[in-house]
Amino acid sequence: MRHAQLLYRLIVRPLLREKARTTLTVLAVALGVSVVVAIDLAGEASTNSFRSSIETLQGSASYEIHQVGGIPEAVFGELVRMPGPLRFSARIEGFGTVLGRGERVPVFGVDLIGDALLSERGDLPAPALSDIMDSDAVWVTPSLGVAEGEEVQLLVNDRTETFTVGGVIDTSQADGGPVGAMVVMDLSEAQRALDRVGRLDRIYVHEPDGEERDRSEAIRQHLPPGAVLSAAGVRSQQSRAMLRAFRWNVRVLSYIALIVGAFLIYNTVSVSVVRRRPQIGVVRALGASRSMVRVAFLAEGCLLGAAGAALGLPLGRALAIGAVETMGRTVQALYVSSAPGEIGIRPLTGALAACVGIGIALAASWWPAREAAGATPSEAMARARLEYDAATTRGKWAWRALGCAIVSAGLCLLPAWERIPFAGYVGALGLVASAAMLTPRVSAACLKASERLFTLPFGVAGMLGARSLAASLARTSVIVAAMSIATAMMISVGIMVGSFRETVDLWIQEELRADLYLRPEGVEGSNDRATLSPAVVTKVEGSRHVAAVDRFRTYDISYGGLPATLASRDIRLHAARSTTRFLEGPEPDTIWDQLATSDSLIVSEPFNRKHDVHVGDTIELRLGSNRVGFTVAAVNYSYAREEGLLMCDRSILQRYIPDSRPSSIAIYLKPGADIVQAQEEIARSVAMHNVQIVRNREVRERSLVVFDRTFAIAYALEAVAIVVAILGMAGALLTLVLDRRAELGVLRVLGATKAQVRSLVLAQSGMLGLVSNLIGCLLGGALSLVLIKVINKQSFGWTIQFHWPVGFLLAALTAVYGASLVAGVYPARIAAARDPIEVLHEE
Amino acid sequence: MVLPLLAAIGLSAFEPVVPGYEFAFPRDHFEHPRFEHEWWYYTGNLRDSSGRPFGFELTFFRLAVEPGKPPETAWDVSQVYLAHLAVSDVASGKFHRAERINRRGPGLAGASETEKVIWNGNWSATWEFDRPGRPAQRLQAAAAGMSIDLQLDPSRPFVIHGEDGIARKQADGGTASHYVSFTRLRATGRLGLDGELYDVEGSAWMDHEFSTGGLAEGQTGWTWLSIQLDDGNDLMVYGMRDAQGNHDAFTFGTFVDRDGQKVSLAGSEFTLSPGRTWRSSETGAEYPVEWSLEIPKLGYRLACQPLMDRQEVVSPRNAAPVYWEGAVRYRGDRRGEPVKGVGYLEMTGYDKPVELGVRDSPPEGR
Repeated sequence: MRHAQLLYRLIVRPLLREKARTTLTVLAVALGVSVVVAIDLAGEASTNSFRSSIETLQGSASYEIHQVGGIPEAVFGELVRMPGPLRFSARIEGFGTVLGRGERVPVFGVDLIGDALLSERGDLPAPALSDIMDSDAVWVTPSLGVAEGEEVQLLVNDRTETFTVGGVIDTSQADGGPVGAMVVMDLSEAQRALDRVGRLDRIYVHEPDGEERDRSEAIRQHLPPGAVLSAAGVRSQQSRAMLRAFRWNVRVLSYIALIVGAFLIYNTVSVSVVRRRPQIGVVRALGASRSMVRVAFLAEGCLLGAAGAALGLPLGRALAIGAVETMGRTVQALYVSSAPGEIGIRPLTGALAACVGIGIALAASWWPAREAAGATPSEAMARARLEYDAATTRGKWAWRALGCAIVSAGLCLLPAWERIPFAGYVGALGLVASAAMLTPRVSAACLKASERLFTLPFGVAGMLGARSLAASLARTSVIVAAMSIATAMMISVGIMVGSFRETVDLWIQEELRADLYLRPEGVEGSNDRATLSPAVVTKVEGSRHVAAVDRFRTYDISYGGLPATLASRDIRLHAARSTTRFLEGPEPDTIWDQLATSDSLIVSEPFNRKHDVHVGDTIELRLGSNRVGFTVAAVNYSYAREEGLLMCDRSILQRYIPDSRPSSIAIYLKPGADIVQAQEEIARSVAMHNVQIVRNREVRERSLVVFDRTFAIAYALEAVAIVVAILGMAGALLTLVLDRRAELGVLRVLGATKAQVRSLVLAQSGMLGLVSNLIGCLLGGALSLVLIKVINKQSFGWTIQFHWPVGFLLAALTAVYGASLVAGVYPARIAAARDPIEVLHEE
Repeated sequence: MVLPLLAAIGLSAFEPVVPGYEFAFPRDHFEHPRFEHEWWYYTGNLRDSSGRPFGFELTFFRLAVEPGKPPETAWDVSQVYLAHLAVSDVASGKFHRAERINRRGPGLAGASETEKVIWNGNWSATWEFDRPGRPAQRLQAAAAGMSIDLQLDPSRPFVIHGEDGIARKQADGGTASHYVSFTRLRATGRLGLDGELYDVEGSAWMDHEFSTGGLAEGQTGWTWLSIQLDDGNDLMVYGMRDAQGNHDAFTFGTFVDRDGQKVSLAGSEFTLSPGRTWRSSETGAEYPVEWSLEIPKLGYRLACQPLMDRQEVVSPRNAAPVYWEGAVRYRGDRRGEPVKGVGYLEMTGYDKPVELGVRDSPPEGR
């Protein structure tokens, strides 16, 4: 009872009395929690559906067989005749755009007659045999919104095909989460529609339950050397490993807002401790123990955290809707084609919100609570002690800051773990911590310098403002730290993304030199392997404007347990007309000669980093039915594929995979040809195919749009962190105003006008904004180096040329400064509105 | 013996069964894609070394689908292959059955003269023509909980049923078939059941039949018996049945002596009468599982009894009609001399009349 009363008197009542400040703090925490929750939910949803669309049809398979360029179907005929209990399922896999909805969905071909394991499941079609013989029947998931018997038009490769819906797949019985949108059809139909006649994309191997014999050797005897037999789902796992690094990066970004929130809780609880010193003295004198006082203040932090978490959970759910879309696009652009699944709030999400909110609150209120508990009853009356303490410990903290910065820098040199740069993150956090430790000293120096500086434009108000801020340094420096961190994060991410964008833009300009590009319509994700029919190429080559056509073909391959992309093109043509920058390798001419004449390839920088493959190394690739040793001729800068890109000559690849259909073509026009006219004529000649022809400039613009989309989530997270910091700043200024009410009252009595008092408070918030900008800029610059050189390189393997995105930085700094002024408006009004006589009476 | 699967619309594209067909072997042991349907039926009675009795059925069906357009891929459905594997474990009364359906695809199923194999997935009958007229056949099949690996050696040459190369089943000449049997094959090998392997031996029967067209108006199903007697003679009797259960005029039989000499029996030369019935709880069909057969011309009086009642085959995907196909034993006499024997009994059309034509109704349970 006594405890409850103590808690109420010392904590709850003051919190309720200071509604504005309490609300601001809770709101800030709520925002931080909501971002973490939103990112967690969105990450789950945008990667979950990816899981289901591929794995729904995998069933309980233990192995899968895959071959670059497709498995010859005769292999399947041999496998199914193997004696023993193994069962085999053949698959065709591709993508199609549902006309009318514009949605790109996975298209699967399965053996609807013979795949017994398919028909044993409840959720997938097991149609009557007569329906299968109607060769245009497809089965669709409910999300496509078409009913049985209706027609559905699918854009596959470079043409449109009309199908009849044979049935809707019952997704309610599917285990393992929601089933992504998909279209299922019989194998014969899929081979025809997706241009895979004679080939299969994947074969699943099912073992009977409880089977312990390893039959992989027996299976392998029936496979061509180029075929890959692996544990089922290994490709999904590989993709998931790539996605994991991405999710970690976004998750870490989402914690920034929370860290900023932690500073605010620290500030709020510290302020409470300072302002309730007399009460602390009284309760201690009346017999409350130190630990009771400490628990009481920890409870205050907890209350704020819990309230923030409770508010943050629904807010996060709402934010997740937007985040899913943004993240889904990123996942699609970088990794796999998949429509985002549903956002579900699981019990775990609530637990996450509570843990994060209350945990961060507890951590943040630890020091102030200790401070409160440490005071002896008599000391508690002495008002200036905290400020004094801050002043005396500044020197000590500076050394600690230095030590912390050195350790952090050291951490940044450590390698990544599982492709997630944990050490880099901790290093970045360490730098943030050192900046926070240094903040009081830097703030003091700045305020001292600004005293004189501010007297000129703001007169006495400026001088008084600077001095009063300096006097309450412990408190102001916390708020400056919070603001600086938010600013620094924004600046560092801004520099990183800006530099990255600039680098990519330059690369695109050097790499893409053809006048026109042609590819199948509707292609979206990076694993979308739609192809063009040879007729299209012939028609383009026949145009009077065309000088040369470069046929580009990509395949998904697997190397060293990770996915990669293998591309082929006409190397001589490419070499003659564009610039490629090499990271490693001999003279460009030597490289091109080697590529055009031998089993050689160029590997991209991310591939080189992931697999530690260098010039002169021979890597074994499984192409078609063969295993081929390729010599690495060079390593180039390439920003096209996160998983790594291998590039070889078209004629060399055709030796091993004799498939002449390109994924896209680059069209070089004759000198003097009119590009508009040429584009129109070519478009007319291929009008019966569903292709898109774009100009060089458009490709560049579209690539940058995709790029911006990819990083939209990062910017959104930064913005939230800034909003949190501004809320905190408003709260802190409000406290400052309330604390200084006596001084302000004296100023008024001495003749200061309301306007002067208002400008005093505004000048103070402006000063805080400037100091935050300064610290934020320095810290942000350092952090951007960590992001570019350590975190980006370790998670993605790209070299980013450092660029100052000047416009962005100016805008960001102005925004922070402006926001700090805005944050001062309300406190300034409060300060000015108070009746000086009343204020003096209070004292 | 006839088991129509799904017949395609129209018969025009298929070759009709006409008298005077000239058989050529080994070609005619394998598939005839121009005929609408075709099957290879292996049934037999086995015992393990301790005398434990088993029955087995391994059947390969082929059904031609009338081609709508020329095939573009190997997976285009021009032929559907169905196969049934069943094992009757008399000691436990358990009846194990499994089904396979495949299209020809890239070698998923077929009956190839060049390869000398009839197969569906990894269920197969591999022929070896080392003894003239008496090709050995090896059966291999495995499904969940059961497997067979049997070597079959013909004890006598095969026979072609009926007259002039055809076995008639309808008055107007619509349905008839080309029908070849190995009436007695010595079977040795292994049978696996629920993880146990049994060394088995016994006697098997093999039917190969191909035809075009279905049942006539009023015919609802048929009854078929194979009989291997301990006096060394074999018998096959067959009857088309109407809704009242009466066998119509197209009932016939074949008697084969130990040298492989055949005597055709007209329906008027024997009587086949149903006895005790058994009702299937799965389909509700009521089968006369006991029969009595009298052939005055040859002096036989035989009683047919099932080794167990539950030997009904139901296609999980409703791809074939429901039928009862089971191991039976015979007791009786020939002109006063007691004889006994083993064989198989097949009955169709007891749940509903055997349907012809494309099945439009969705499979059950879906």
